[in-house]
Amino acid sequence: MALTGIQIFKLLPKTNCGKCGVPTCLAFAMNLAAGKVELIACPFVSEESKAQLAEASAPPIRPVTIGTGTGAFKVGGETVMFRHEKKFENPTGIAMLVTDTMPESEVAARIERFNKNVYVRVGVKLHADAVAVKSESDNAAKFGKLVETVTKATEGGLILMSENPEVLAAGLKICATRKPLIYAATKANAAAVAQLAKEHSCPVAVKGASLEEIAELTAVMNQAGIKDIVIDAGARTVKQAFQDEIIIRGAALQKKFKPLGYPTITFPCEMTANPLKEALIASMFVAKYAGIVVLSDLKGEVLFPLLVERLNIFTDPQRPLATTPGIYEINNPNENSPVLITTNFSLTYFIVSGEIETSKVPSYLLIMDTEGLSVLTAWAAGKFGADLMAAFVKKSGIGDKVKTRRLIIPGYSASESGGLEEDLKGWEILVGPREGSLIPAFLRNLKNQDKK
Amino acid sequence: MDCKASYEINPTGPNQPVPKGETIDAKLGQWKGVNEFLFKASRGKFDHYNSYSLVNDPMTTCGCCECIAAVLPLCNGIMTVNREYTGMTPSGMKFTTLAGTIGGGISTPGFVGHGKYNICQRKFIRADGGLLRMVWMPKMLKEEIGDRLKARATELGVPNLVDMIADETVGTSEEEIIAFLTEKGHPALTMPPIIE
Ligand code: SF4
Repeated sequence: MALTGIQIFKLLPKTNCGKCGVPTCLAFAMNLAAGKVELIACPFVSEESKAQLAEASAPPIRPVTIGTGTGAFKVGGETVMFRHEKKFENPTGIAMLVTDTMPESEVAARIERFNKNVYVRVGVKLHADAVAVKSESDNAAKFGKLVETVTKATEGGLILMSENPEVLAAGLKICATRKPLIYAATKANAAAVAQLAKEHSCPVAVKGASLEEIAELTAVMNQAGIKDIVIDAGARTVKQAFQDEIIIRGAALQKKFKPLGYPTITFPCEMTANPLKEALIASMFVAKYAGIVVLSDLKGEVLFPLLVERLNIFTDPQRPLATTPGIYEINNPNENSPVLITTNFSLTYFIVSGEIETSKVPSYLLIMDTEGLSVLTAWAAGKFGADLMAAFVKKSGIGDKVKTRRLIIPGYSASESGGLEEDLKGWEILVGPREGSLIPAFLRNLKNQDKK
Repeated sequence: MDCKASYEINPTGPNQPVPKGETIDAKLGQWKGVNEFLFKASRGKFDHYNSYSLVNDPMTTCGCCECIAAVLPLCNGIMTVNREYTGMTPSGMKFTTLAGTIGGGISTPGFVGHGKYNICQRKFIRADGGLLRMVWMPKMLKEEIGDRLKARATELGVPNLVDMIADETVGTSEEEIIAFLTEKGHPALTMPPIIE
């Protein structure tokens, strides 16, 4: 059960020494209760308190990391049923299937798509997370070979799929250091698979025919000392699988039922043969509540919408998406190019930079830190006024990049132009359009005027 | 009055009559009718709260309260801070940070939002020891409600309580104010522990 700030406070040293970054133990306890800080920030907690707090603050759904290095991704760790209550923590992992009965050319083509389909949107890199390598032949050597091919060809996470411990062992021999997810332990093979997971310290998926069976299996794994578990509730009809997802999340969060407190893996690729339907099913599981979705293939038209959906669902609804402040060069600007300035709300950046691109006019775009607020909001909050803008322009170093001294500010900031002329001596301040869509015309006009 | 008028104008609006019903705990301020209403209105999230306690399951506020009271464990008392005071408080948190712990449906033991005049009401955190627990408040608040504060303190038999309550000129850390409290002989120091 989650502890209140007061309950946590009682376990702290009560010295108000301030080492943890806040002035009092009480303030620290409150932050801890809200999940804003970690216990290690206080160097003076007793071992006894540590144990008690760790137990109490253990997340109701265990976070599980699959993969290593750049290919690692984390699933689980969720704390709410609905995104608006707080936020969803770890984005659903998107995995692509390859099997050892597929022609080699097909495997190669899929892996290429997996590696190539990477998109950058609002300053975030979007891509799939894992390759699920499945043994259909039940032949250990064949499986090992496929695992080797995949391991070499990609840095992404790996899921090894077989219910035969010997086949799994063959795969693990090759890629255990990459921390693949072992799929799956069932009632029949639980002991042997648990042994493999322990030996290679890899996360393991349990697959059962019912939620009761799953709960038993996770308990067995736990007893074997395995904590990183992923659940496959077994159903392959959309309705049942969806229902299971809801029940599992609810049991873990609301009933604090530990045996189901793990992320889940779902298989839209086994629920339909129609790629469009498969994508739709996957999109549903991204929203509710899969830790991993396994798709049969990741063509761009399937993957991209899923990635964007995932981005939307797993952003923090209480914090605006922000872009890194700084100077952005668009259309290869030079020392004679105009300079535009706007706020670092991602959507603002996204639209403004897009429109400048469309204009084909080489330009510099200054993105100022407004804590992710849009132009009008930032202005109203006093974060996008003339004084701050002027200070930012001076500090940004744009003055060294351009000979021109002409700054274009958003139309909605028109009222700041006078102040800017004062604060930014030597610069000509131009008021740009209010709407992003009018930027191309504005920039082209400016260019034509200059020509004359 | 306001609430009654609001209810008459909009019977399904935010102000609703709540039948108190049977008393569950007179000291903490808990009633059956209130709990039932709360359970329904919070859609099952809360089944009870205590009107007269800040330490045990206190009430929530909408977040626009005038003051926020917080427990000060070392001083064995409580402090309160008004919205207008933007400085640091002995709890180690400013008003804005505290506001995040008490508003919008969150019930946080040890913290409660309230009005300025609440402080001088007889039922103010009665279950935790009432006004005699008050060890710190901003000077401006002390001055604003000074007369009422004095009247209530006199009623409690400690007429000079106002002078024993520390403010930011004494300090904004528990260590600083505890020395002051000891010197003045503040009643909170000899009361039963505020958190067991
Ligand atoms: S570092 Fe630990 S002892 Fe010091 S104030 Fe923070 S919580 Fe208290």
